[in-house]
Amino acid sequence: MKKIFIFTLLIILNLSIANKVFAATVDIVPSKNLVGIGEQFYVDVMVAMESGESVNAISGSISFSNDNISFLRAEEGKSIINLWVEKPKSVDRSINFAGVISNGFSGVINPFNPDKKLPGLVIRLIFEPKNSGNVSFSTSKFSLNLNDGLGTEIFAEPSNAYVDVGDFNDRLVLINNQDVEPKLEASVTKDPNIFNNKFFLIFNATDKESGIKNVRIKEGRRDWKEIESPYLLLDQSRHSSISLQAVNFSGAGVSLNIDKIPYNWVSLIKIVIIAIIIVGVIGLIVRKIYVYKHKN
Amino acid sequence: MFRISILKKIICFIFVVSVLIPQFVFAVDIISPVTINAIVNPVGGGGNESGGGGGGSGGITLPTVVNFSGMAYPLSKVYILKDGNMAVTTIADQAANFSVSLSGLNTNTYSFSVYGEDNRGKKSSMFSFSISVTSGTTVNIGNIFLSPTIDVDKSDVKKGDNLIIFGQSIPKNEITISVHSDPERFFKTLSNTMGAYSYNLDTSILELGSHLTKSKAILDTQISLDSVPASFTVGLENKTKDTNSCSKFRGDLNCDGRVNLVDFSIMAFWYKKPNPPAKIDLNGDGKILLVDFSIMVFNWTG
Repeated sequence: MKKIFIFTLLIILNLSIANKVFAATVDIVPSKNLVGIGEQFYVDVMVAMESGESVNAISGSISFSNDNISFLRAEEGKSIINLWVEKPKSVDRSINFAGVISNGFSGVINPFNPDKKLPGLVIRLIFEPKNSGNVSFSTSKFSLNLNDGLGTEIFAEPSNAYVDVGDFNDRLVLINNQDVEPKLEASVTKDPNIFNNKFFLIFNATDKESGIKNVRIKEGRRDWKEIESPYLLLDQSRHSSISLQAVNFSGAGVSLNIDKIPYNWVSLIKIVIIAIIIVGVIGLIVRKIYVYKHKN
Repeated sequence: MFRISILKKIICFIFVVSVLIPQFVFAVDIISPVTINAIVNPVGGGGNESGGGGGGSGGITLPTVVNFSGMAYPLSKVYILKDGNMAVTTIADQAANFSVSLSGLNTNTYSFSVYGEDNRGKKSSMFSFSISVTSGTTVNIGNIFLSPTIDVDKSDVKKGDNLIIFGQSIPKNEITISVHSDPERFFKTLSNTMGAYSYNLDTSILELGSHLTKSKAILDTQISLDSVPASFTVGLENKTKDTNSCSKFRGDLNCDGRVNLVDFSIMAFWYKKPNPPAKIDLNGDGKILLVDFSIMVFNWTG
């Protein structure tokens, strides 16, 4: 009976291992484990797929333990996520994000060694140490959706990493000096499912290096303002010119103009002629009334 | 004693099977023998990207190229997406072979998707992968064997009547059609010189209810990807498939025949908002969450 018990235990263990085949793993990879005060460093959040599964949506958060460091920015340029549903946002020492990978991610192929797939970068977070001491980083339980057409949800277990801020000053500023221009695509459309079928702007700004800092719009004579996609146009007549500008974290920008709908001059002339006729007729009537009253 | 011995054998058998089955199932994730290799381009080896100038080797930019080749359908359109955006299209030759190059890339990780479109506008399943590209190298992605396309002539078929399953693949080749029923059934047919195939399925062998059918092509040792499944219902009456329906793909929210940034933006507008339109809520749970985006981007066409 004892042997049967052991066999049963082995089966249960094996089945749990088999289930784990579906899992993805998330890792936190700091650029350095020991940094000085003022020495900026980054933390990469990596996802690795096991067993050839493919995922197309990821959401999660990464938090850090104390105020010995400050969060500077998230660089999304090299991320496997190509459309962000929730852009990386810092709230109380926690950075949350959610995004999708069109057509899925099953690991990065190195063409010089294609048999082994590598983890993919989800997000790179830049920090600056302020005080000496240990800082721990931990991820939440990441939620991932399989690229199976059903959005089957799987989870990756939380992960941790540590960085030691030494009691010495070492000023280092991380800048991305790759001379790469961001890419920006945009169009104006309307759809009964949003904004009550009014015209709205959609855009996608990408930068494969440092990532996009912001996208701004100038509608007609209005001032520039930062926007997110989709954006409801203020001028629904579409007669205002639209300029868009995307800037990356290196300071490089790209602009794009969207043609306005020109006035239909034939229609305008018709309206003016009709207006003149109406005014003329009214003028004649008023004049006749005036003359009639004065005669009597 | 005898009973325990039998029990032990059964347990051993279950154990061995439970060890082997998961490994067998997951070991076959590469169903198409795609070949991937890379070469470092020689300095001064030419190429239309060679920049130059300035004297000295510091200003030389070596060409960085990714070549895609494989099989689609005779004279069909083949699309290559880069990071979800349409990057290049090409036309397959009469024998269904295609070959296309993408240049102007920097050192980075790119996500590529390849799909074909048959002569009726029906699309193959996606062949997608992420690859690390190094500046100054040529990466060759060969033997991409796109799935056949598949469709059915009726959305509802009266049990016992025939259902025509048809599509396009490589020319003059055996096509295997599977109908996901209980049990799953397999049928074989041949494609013609244009790669078109059809099969007249006698539905009397199928149970009443919903069914899925998909197809694949086998050429020598190469197996294509599985087609995108087509659905039909075996019932009490025939209903011709509505070809004008906008729901060709789940996620095509604005009915333009594509799943792209416009659809993503429409869905993003409703993310975590109350009472989204039923059409946007792809899994029908009354809210727009990441799972709805997942269903949408599975069908992404760029």
